[in-house]
Amino acid sequence: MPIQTLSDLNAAFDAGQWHLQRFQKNAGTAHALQWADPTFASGQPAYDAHVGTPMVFTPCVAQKNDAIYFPGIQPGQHRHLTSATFWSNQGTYNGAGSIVIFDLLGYYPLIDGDSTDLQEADNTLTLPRYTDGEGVGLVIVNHVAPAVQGGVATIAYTDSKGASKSITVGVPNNGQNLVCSGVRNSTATDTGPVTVSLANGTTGVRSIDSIQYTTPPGGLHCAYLIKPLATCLTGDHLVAVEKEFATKNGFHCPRIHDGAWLGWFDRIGSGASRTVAWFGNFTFAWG
Amino acid sequence: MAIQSVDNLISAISAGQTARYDWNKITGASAYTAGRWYDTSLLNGLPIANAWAGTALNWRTCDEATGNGTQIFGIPHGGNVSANIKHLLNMSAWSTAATGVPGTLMLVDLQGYWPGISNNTTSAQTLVGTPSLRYAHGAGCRLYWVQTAVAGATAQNIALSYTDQAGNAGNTLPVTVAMTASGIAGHISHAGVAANNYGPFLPLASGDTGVQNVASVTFSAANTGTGALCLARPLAQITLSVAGLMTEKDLLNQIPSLPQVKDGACLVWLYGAGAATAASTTFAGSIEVVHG
Repeated sequence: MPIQTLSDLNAAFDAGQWHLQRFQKNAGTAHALQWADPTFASGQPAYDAHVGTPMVFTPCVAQKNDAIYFPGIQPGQHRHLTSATFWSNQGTYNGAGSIVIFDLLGYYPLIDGDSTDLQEADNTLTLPRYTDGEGVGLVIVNHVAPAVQGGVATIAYTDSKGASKSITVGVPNNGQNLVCSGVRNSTATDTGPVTVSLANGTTGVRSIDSIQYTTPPGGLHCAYLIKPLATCLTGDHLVAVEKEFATKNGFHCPRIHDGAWLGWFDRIGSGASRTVAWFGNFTFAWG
Repeated sequence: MAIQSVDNLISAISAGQTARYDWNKITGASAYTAGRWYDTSLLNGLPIANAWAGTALNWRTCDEATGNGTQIFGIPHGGNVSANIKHLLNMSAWSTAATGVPGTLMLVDLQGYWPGISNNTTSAQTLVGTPSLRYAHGAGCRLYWVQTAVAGATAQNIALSYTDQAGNAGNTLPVTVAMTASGIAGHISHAGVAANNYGPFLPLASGDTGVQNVASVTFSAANTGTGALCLARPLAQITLSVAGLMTEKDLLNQIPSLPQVKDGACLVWLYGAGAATAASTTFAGSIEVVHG
């Protein structure tokens, strides 16, 4: 019987149906005021460059320590993320930050940034969770090889209603291992959003059908399909901050499906670019 | 069954009756001025820009599914849920530029607008159409004027004749309300720091709590420019307080608690600039709703 009341939630803890999972990620790419994915750093969960066969959709189903670990549960139970704690021991961090926690559903790796050819996607495999794509966002990350300039791409995709859509959008050159999701249809540097701006009426992405650069950015990019789950803030260096989702998120402790590949993007709020090691805990409860 | 307790809320969340959507908006080539308010619906980003489709002076209804009939520009919130009731549960927002803070983002349910109203006449401009509103009798619905094409340099005041929530026609603004000379597209032209500016909403006659229709708009002097008169229900606001840092708002534990999001609500952010905001500043964030 899933958790349906506040009493159920407390009872889950009383019954031992909870788990605290610590994580630590070593310092990765220096960044500030840009969204970074600590998956591109060693630690636990393990380093993961999100590589594979170019433009083949690669579903993500977490196992062991390849993402934030959580225990298995019985059929009929629901698992929830009840709190998240983040801190950094980086002495020169000097700026509070923002966190977006997400479930990485899969990705299209190694998109060739030096080609203006149509790069068609292989969607033999489909979304492993949130299968219709409603509320699923598209995130472009520069990985493996650095871009050399801001690019512009025409992205054809299938939205959550099953309709074919297309958008021409910038792929800003924000740096390797950083989010390069465009807002405008130009090569301008956009660092703000996590997810790419999409076409009229889109409320989610089910799959990418093709990408074609009209201005090639160089390097290699990875297109994530994510389900954002929650947000939280970090303190200055050496300050741990806990987001407890029951009382600070309207009792919305995000549901964590079996196989959820939990990750996060962080955005350091200071103007000086920093490499940041992250430590913290995710706490889960189920019932 | 409406959500009437914390247990109801948790049950609804557990049943997956939630939705979360990200949004982003980027300001145009003109900087924003401290103390003024702006409508972000006409900015590029996600969702797409509102181009104020419609016939001049004719009411145009806006909703989630179809936007203004051409551009689907409202922040999505997961579609209709009746006979359930949907609530705004959480939201977050941030700006990419230090000049984007401090500021206030106000989420409104845009009922619709009258587009193509000219700033360039002193004659009363009769507005056409009877708004069909998501709020009975326009309760809590407020008016604001958005410049859709840049205004000229001539000073002018705005006057209205409107029908209030009680059905009384012929109400007028209780004070002189000045528009902003040379207001840019997107500026809520009466919201600034000059004498006789009010905002983000136009002041209503004493005792009025809403608007259900507007009969006419009159300017005191002719100026160039075009605008839209918008009718919206404010739902919640979030403050952008620290440069580079996200702001979060939990709308269960903070006031207003769990504002209702009606079926079809066309959600739009209004932005109150607390500082001169540089051109091409990105704002982004998320909203989360629950229904039960």
